[in-house]
Amino acid sequence: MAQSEEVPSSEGDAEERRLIDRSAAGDQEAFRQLVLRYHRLVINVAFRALGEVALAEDVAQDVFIKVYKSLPTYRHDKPFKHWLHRVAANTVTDSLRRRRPVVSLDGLEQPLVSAGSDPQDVAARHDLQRAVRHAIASLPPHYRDTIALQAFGELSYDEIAKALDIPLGTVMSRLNGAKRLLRERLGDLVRPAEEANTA
Amino acid sequence: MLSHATTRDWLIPYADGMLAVDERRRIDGHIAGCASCAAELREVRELNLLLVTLPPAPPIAFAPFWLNLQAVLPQRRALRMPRIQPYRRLGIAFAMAATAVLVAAGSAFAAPAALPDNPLYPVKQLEEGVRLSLAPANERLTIQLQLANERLREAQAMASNHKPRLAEDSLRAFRVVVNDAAAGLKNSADPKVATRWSAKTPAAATMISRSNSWSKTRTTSSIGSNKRMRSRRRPPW
Repeated sequence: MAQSEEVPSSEGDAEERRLIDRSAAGDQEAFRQLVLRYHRLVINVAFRALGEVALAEDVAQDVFIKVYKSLPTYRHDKPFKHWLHRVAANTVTDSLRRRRPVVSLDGLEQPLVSAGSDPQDVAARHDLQRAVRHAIASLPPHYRDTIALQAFGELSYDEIAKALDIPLGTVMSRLNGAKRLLRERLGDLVRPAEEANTA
Repeated sequence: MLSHATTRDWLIPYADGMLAVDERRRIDGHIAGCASCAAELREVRELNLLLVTLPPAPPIAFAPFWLNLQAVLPQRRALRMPRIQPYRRLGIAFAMAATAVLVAAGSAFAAPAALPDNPLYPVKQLEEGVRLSLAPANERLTIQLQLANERLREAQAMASNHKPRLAEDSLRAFRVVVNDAAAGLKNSADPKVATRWSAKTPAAATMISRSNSWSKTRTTSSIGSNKRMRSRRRPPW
């Protein structure tokens, strides 16, 4: 199955542009090819944010429906991938906010455990990841959207700046604020094990 | 040496590798002698580790994903009007105008035979009105007589088709035309026209009286009775 997420060449860009224009005009075959290129990326973002495959697929579907509806307004002045990242980050954080937290942050006073195959370790790691996701979802929107692009989209500072159309300095400032709040809200969970044990 | 506050402000971009070499060195220098900032840096790195270790999705097949997505994609885009070049717009406008003219011409040809229950009947009335208003004075009475005959023909057809209300309307129109014609005859300065028309007016007067008596019969008998109307093969004028 061909699933290229990056199409760096100018020929690839031209082909992508053609697919975008044809999709905007209602050509579903062109849109299928566009989805084929990016569905892995979108599902990854959704899965990192939500932690469940079925839910991630549903949200990824929502992302592509939004993209399909909005394609006529898309301008080629910014890379499609950055635009897609922005739509995906907004959709997954909205979905994350709508979901009730399954695990209370107060009940998670265990320090970060090392990755292992012990069932208890796996369960603890899942709880920890869930706590991180919900802590992100509880952030103010401008922090949440920025950190979501870094944590769920794995974008660099520069890519976040392009995706959100904001200066690099603003990205740094927002990530700074977002991570400070996350550290406050996650408490001991982000304290290294030896320090948490001695505290 | 950097202060605590400045160092703390820069710890996150420092941990993310976003600082220039000289800035990094200054932070390094402060952390080396400050246990508190060093501990905070460890927390920042722990948080980063948590964020980057959110796992990617397991492999997901594309085909079922696309089929599910395709089933809910909005269809309206397929109906979008294509972008049309200006010269093509002109051509399309011309074609639409030509079509409208053809339809109007077709209606005009079909309208003269239209009866009151025909959708083209208003076109016929319009055409008659135009013809009468544009006619020279010496032909006006002749046209009015033709129109009166046409109204009688329509009334007869409507009665035969069991549409008494439309038949009555046609008779009313007939009387209006004949009265207008009679008024025009009185005022006519052309003796030829007056002679020609006066030869026909007795027949018209007879028709009026017959139509009046038929109308009275209809109003006194059960007007809406289709059975009665069916039994009446011809109207009594």
